Amino acid sequence: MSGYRPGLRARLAAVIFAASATVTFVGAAALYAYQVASLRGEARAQAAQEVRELEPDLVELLATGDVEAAVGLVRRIESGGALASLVVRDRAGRALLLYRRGEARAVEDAAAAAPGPQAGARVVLPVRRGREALGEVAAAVPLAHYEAHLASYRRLAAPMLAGLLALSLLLAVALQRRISAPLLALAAELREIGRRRDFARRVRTGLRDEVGDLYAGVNRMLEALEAAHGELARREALHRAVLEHVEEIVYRVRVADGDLFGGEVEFVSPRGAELLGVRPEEFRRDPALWLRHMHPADHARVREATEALARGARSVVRVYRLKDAAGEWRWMEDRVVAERDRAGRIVALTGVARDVTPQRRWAGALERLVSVARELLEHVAEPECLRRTVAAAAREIVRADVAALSLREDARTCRYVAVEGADVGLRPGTCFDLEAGGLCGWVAAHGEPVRVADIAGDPRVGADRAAALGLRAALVVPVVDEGRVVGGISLFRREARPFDASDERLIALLAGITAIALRMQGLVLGLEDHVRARTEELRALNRELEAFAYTVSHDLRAPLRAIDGFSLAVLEDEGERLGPEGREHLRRVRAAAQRMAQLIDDLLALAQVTRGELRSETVDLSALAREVVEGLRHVHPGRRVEVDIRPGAVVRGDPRLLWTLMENLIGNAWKFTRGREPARIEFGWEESGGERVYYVRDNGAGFDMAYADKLFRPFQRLHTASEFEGTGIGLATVRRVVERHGGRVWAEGAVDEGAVIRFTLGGGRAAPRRESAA
Amino acid sequence: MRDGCRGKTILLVEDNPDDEALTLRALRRNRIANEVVVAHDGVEALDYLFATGRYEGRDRHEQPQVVLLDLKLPKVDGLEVLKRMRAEELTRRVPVVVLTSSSEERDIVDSYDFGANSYVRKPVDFEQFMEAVRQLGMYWLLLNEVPQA
Repeated sequence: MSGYRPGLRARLAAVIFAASATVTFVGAAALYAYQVASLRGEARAQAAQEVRELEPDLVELLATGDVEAAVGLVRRIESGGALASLVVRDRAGRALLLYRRGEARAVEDAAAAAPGPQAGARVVLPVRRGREALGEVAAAVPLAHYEAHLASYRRLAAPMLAGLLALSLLLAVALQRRISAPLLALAAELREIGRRRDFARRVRTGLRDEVGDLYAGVNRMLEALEAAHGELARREALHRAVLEHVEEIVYRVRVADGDLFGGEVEFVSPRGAELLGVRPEEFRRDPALWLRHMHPADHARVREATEALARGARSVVRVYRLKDAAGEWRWMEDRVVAERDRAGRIVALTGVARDVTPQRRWAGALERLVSVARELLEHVAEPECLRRTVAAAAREIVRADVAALSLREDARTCRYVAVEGADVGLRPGTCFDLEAGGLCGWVAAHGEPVRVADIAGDPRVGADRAAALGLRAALVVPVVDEGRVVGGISLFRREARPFDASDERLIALLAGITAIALRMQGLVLGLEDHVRARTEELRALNRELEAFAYTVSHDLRAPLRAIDGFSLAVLEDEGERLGPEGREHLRRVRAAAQRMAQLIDDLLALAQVTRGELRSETVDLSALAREVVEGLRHVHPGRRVEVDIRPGAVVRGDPRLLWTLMENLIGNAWKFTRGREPARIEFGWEESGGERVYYVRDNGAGFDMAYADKLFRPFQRLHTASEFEGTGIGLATVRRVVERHGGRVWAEGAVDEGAVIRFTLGGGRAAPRRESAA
Repeated sequence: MRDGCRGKTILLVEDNPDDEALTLRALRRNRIANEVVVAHDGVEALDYLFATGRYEGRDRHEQPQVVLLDLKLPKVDGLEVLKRMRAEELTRRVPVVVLTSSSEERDIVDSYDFGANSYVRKPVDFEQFMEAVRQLGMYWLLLNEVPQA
């Protein structure tokens, strides 16, 4: 309301009143002027009339110039009439008579005469006789009479004027109402519309004039306004809906003086307040709220990223953690755009921050799952370790308070085999009946996971059990192998913070890995059992073999000894009586017994090579060869044999077996070079195909290559016993020794051209592990 | 050959009569005239040594000059006899020569571990056996000094 200026009504009334008052005043003034003019006319007509009545006297006077005539004239003027003054002039303009009521004089010099009387109405008339102009006369009548008349007229006019003014004022007030009322009504209506923002309202009037047009114009304007307002409201609703429902946090911060961290927060979409658990207005009040919720370790990185904006980047992505309402760290990916003024200064930051915690969790959890799978693989043969690993990983991946792995014992029962986490009512080893209900029972029956926000309210658990356990949120995922539920992974939280779908998916993955690991465990343990059983079998067999060998060595030799001993006793005691043939027979008996004893010894040696642990030590084959040769020279001092032993054949292997090897090879060479002059035996090696091939070469009897494959079989001989003694077991023993060391042995030779026995020791398979590990 | 508690006795522990006869022959042929007591199993050997059972009443303090001990014996085997001998003060220092058919490494090691003084494998060739017995007699009956109990 504008109280400081007259309103429309007052102004309209004033204008109308001013107009009518002006008209009244002008009318009254004109009337008055007319009155004055008509009264003067009347006075002049009277003066002329009276002069005409004096005409004879005037003619006479002018004609004669006689004083008598003048006196007569004055007398006549004074006897009657109202003339106040009279001046008579002749043709030359000389004044003949000056008369003023009360005084009369003849004027000698008209030119010097004073002008005629001033007051009253004056007339100047010519005086004629016939056609002859004699002179002129000027006369005046007094106006006092008319003055009185005008005064009475004025007395009458004043009240009349006041009445007229009052009337026009009333008229003005009444008239302005007709004009102002629709306008004021319009104004009031518009004010109301403005106040209510009700642009759907329309103004109405019966008028068809310009005011009517005004109303119509206003209505058109309201229509446009309504349309625009509706559009605006729709857009705003959309805008709000978008901002309220998007998962992203949209914000805008005004930047002052280049401070990119302390600016005034103009806007934060509702998700921001919801995430941090604050009221929306707190953002505006406290610009540092955001920084205070940020993980301290992320400040430096965020600062660095933000400062890239100051250096000219249009937008940057900031990644950081915020502590949410529940006190959990949420990973945010915050894309922020700088708004700049013309000078390039940053005036505002607009950003969209996305909660990427689930993606990050997935990435992290998947990595964890891979490492779990690797761990399970490593510990697949250790059931306790495997179970604990699964439970611990499950607990960690979904950040549960308690994790338990249960495995099915039979159709009805399940057992908790590992429980990780806070001390609760769940104990590892506890058995439970699947048909008695419970979440595990449900999961086992349905084969699908179950998530419960609060087990106290779940009929499958019941409030009593939930209270006893002290747990609220639960997630149970079945471990399924070949469509059969073989167990379950149960997770619990103390508070009713429910597990989500991604928790469930992650645990389902873990359950899959667990199922595979359990299957593998079954296979591995089965295999181990099998290996253990076989090893035991082999050990028993070995023990039997040992006992057998012992018996052979002990018990088979005793009768041979008796045969030999008593044969000799007979020879010694009764030799003379037997005669030469009898003595020869007994000598053969003794030789046979001794040969059999040798056979037994060789067989035992062969058996010894086969059984027993293989030791791994550093062995110098060259030294062994020298020792063997020394022994042979001692036994056969008469033999001349050239021996060439290359020093430094150091290998890893079993010293006892390698001694047997060298003893046999060099012994053979010694034996088969008998009769050669000179006999030559050579021990050495050559590099072939990346491995060392040792050889023992001699220039002895050699052999036919056609039988080369027979050489290494037990009891196979290429020479008769009369040529070369032997049991045919030596090279078989050599082959056993070489094979136990992971090597190969083969022979080359020709009859009477000597033989070469070559062998490898398999790169020391006797001890490859220990060497490579060292 | 010497005075004192140790007599000239040789204790031969041998279950095989052939080996017993051959050993006795070998001793005889080597002119070893010491009295030879033969025990046919471990129990008999222990009875003799500790003057129990069949040998009750024997002077326990008279211990053999050497024990020729076979390992494979009925009832109580040779190693057990050796172990028991070494556990008793009375027989702790009596020389024991293990005389056996076995050339098993394990038997040799065990024998020495239990306190055998020597280990001889009976050769099949009786001439070699005689030679071995001759050397044994020379060494254990003539050269070897034992502490006087």
